[in-house]
Amino acid sequence: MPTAIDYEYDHSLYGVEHESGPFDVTPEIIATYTRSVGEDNPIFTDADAARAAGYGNVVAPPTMCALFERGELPDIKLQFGRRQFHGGQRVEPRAPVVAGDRLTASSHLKDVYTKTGRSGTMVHVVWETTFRNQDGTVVAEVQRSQVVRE
Amino acid sequence: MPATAKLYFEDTELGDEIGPIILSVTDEQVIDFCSLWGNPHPNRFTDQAEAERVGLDAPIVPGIMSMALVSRALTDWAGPGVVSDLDLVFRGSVPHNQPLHVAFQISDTSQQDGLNQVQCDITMTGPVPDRPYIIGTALLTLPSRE
Repeated sequence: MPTAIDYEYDHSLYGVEHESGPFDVTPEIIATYTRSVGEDNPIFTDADAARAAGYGNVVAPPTMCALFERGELPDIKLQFGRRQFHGGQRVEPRAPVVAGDRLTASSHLKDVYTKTGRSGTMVHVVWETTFRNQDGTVVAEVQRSQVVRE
Repeated sequence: MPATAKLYFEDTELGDEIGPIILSVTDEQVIDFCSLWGNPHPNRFTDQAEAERVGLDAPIVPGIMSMALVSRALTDWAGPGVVSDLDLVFRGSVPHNQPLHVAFQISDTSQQDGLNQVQCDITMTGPVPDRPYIIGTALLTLPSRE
């Protein structure tokens, strides 16, 4: 069960939005992304197929926004642990992202909690990021959980 | 009906098991992905020595790339544009150049407010099925034949 955290960290980060971007979604980024994960559906690889399906241009796969988080988030100055790893990720696509879009990101610290299991205590640091396109439309909500352990 | 539809709500049933869909990732694919992510080669995801330096046995597939692979498997099964929520927990290191078994099981279906939705449990495993690399859930919003 998650429990409240006993370790010190920078609580002033709660309630503060951290803006980043803009991130240009180019056809080249989408092509490299789809090639690297073997995503071959034509709406992700062929602009004509995407337009025939009703999109404005070749479409970015639904989890591609997560690329743009890229560690630009502040250090929470957690007084615990030395090793960390990526513990989880959640993506809620809200609207299509297509080549030519320009995205911005707004992130905030959502939660910090501990879990203790067989391998000891781990602290989960959860950031939530909202991505918007050039029209202000929310295109994705992304949560990233970073886990810190002793 | 969307031109891209592969799976319709009426084709799904609670308890349906899909897969495993077997994928693998080469070293070159991980290097390409990391270059997009602002994490150029060499790093712990792409290079043996860098991986060992941080206590790993071998380079691993980044979490967000593993998520992209799960998303691809969902597209392969259900078609593009249907994922409304994908929530994954990374339980183990995902290796390069090894078969990755992605499986889905439908855990809930609902039709409400004009939305046809299917909830799936997700696993990604290697050769040992009871030690998953990834577990999670997906919410899909599917077209209807009606």
